[in-house]
Amino acid sequence: MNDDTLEAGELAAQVTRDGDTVTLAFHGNADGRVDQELEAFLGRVHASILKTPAATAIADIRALEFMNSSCFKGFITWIVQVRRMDPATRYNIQFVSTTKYPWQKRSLHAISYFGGDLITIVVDD
Amino acid sequence: MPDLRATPGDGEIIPASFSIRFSPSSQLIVVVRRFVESFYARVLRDPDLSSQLALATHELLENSVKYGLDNNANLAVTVDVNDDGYDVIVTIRNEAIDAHIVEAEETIAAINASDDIFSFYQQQIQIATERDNGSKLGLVRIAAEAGMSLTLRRDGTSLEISAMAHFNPQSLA
Repeated sequence: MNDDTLEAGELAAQVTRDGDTVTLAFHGNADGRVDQELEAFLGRVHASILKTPAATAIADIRALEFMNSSCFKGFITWIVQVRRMDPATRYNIQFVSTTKYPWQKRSLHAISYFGGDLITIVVDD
Repeated sequence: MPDLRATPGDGEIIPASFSIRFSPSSQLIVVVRRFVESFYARVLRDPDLSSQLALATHELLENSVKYGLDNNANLAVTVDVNDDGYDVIVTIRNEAIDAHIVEAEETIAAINASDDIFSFYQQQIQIATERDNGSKLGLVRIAAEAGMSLTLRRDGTSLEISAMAHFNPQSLA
């Protein structure tokens, strides 16, 4: 899988792969300026994993200062795409978060409830 | 509970308030949110609570940008104390398109009618996945994640949305 990057508004993201783990590292602000770019980026990552399967996608949001509701929807859309996969090839999504940005705890609670078993959350300060 | 009302010279700064009139743009929203979060952090001395309130402020500001009729918006924030805690009110006022006002009225009515805001939030998240444009999750996110109640007032095309919360410092400790 080719590494992919996203740079839009105040948001940056980079994809790296190590074996069957794909890591998406986010930095900055995910706000109304970048929701479409973020959703497209997550769609590209998902399509790439469909081509070259992975067991886990790690969304590292420790450096994500803020995420608005339309970017929140981008992650939800990604989760729905994964949920529609054949269970045999479905990958898990792990969010790595920080207590530095308290909004992450509440937003990830909502995301994990929506995503069910697909989602795990790790707090790593 | 200690008396948190402002006493000159002792460092206490509640009640506190500010209002700004500006031309909202996506680029400015992040600047205003950071300022507002710093304001809350200084006044309330609670990072978690400040983050909740900043989230609410950001979502209200983005609504004003998306659905505003002109380039003017008024943001007002007040923090006051009563017998058992803090009252926080965030109000955004701007001219808005009628269709958005109606939609906001319906959304806020549904939020206020819900007896389980988290379940309602999950329902709205599911609905959002089926929308082609936008999430329409901003207001319900304020209620579900920031724990704030919402009110709306309109006068013609003038729209005023307030997010309010009451916090007990002892419950936050």
